[in-house]
Amino acid sequence: MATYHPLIAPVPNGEDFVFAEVKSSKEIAFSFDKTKKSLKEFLLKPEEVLMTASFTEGKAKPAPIDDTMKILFGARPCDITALELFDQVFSIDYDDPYYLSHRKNTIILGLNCLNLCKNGFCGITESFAPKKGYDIMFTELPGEKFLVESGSLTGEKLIHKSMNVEGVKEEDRIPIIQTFKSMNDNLSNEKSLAGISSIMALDHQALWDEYGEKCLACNLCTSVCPTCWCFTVHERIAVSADDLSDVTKTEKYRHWTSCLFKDYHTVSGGHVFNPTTASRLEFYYKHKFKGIPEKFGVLGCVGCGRCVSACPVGIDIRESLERLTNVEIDIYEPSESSESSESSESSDVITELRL
Amino acid sequence: MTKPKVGIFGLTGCAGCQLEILNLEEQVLNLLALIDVSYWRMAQELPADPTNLDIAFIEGSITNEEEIHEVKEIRENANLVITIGSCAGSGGVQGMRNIMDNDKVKAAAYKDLSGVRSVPVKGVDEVIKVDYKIRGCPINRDDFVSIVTSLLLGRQPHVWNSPVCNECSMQNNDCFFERTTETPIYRSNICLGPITEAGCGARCPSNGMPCDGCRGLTSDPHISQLVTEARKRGETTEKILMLAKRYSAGSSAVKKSFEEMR
Repeated sequence: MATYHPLIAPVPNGEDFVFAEVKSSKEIAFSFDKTKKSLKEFLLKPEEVLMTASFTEGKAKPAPIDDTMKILFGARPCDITALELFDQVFSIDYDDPYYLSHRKNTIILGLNCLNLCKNGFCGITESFAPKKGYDIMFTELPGEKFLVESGSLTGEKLIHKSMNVEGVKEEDRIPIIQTFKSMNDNLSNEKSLAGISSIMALDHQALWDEYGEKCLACNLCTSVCPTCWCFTVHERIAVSADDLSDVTKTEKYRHWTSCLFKDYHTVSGGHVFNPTTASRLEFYYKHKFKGIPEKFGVLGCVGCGRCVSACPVGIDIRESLERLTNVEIDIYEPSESSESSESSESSDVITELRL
Repeated sequence: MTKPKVGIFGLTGCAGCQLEILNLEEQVLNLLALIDVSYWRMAQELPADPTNLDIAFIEGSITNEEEIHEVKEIRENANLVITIGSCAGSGGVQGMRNIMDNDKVKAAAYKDLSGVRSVPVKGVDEVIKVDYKIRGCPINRDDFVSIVTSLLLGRQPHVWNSPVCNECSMQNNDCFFERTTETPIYRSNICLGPITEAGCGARCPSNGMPCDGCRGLTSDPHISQLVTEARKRGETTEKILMLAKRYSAGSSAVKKSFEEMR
């Protein structure tokens, strides 16, 4: 597959896994917990030039958008669920050509989770089985096989072109049913966040104050979050005198920012809307569990638990939700034996896929 | 457009920031197309004219009476005063003698103390009004050029107004302060990224070193939270504060931030 388009897939990096371009399926970590960061960096780049102009003559023009077709393998269901929100955010009021171009040119190959990952709570946010947002969804079946299901026309065509894909046979019935039953048993949760947006409208000052005492406002949680999309826009003037008239050297660009920064809440004239970390955390939680559901009809949290892993001071969103809703959230402790290592043969299905 | 007249002055420091400007090499020539350097002792054979300046860049901290007098003169002779580097901005590393036993420091450095006429280390803005600070130890030369070009063209330079963590997390860096899977093992007990102003491109963390805090405090530093967390990891308050003040003990504003924390 990588011979046709660049292939991005999870690879090991120390104790964690990160998305990186791979040249062969041997580099791919098929049994990965989840990547440390979400896949948003490929769709909403950490930094992206929006337009360029000549400082002296104007002549503004849009920056060329990177529209190379990419294949992203190993998107977890939580990340795919988050795309449903991103797709709305970047097109609801007006289209964001940068995001939409990257989205259109990224073929998303999902990989279902069969067990709950470390710090994950996708059962509660009901984000472990997205029905759309991916092109193909892979599910690992016993016997070094993958079930492939398409979720778009692109995915459908891709599967049809592939050499090593066979139709589902009668002998697959039991493994398929068992796999999905066990997946459902492992991931689903009878507890839910029903009513959370009303609960968020109530006063929880004690909780915000407590977190405000701990939080470093470092933005690690927002940078790993698959549903955080905030960015800020700046200008960069050509650095040399010769380039001042060059229409490509003076740029307007955007980069990720975070609602935990003072700068985020500062307006013209220097007024700061949320001066304390406690009030910024309240804003953060209210946006995820009240603002986003009310505007986009989905939760602003997909239960991936990345913020829990990332937080240097140990603020745990599961604990906050428990305290807000009085619903206890089970913490999954992975046991040593639950991680089964994949044999290299199982990757053959992937390598034989052709575009 | 007449070229603005510029002076570059060096007080006490290692002169590394001025060297960074010289290290711009061909870009220096581009910059010279925009400005007229009338005073730069480090780069000129014969220092010309330090008066009637449009912009004065000051590097180095104030460590004796003569330098107090010198910066006042510079202020009178310049429309804009811009400090370069952490020495001029907040005292720099030599500012550490403000928080150590001064007699011991002197005795360690000089055999004969009769000629030593130092005063406590001060950043330039402790004595005169400073219009803009270019941060870093040393300054980042690209940062210098972009700030200077912005100012010359009458534009507001890009101020991050957020911690190094902002830039660090935009790259695929492993956080030094993050708890690893095998808690409670940390990659580092302390990283000054969360309280340090961004703009360096997270250079140290990207090259395997926790943030050193050379760019000084960000506008909204959460010092007490950082100290609390580092203490939980077994560091002493004294050590953390010593690290955090390493580049900025010559700044009363920074001193005040640390006092407020207690």
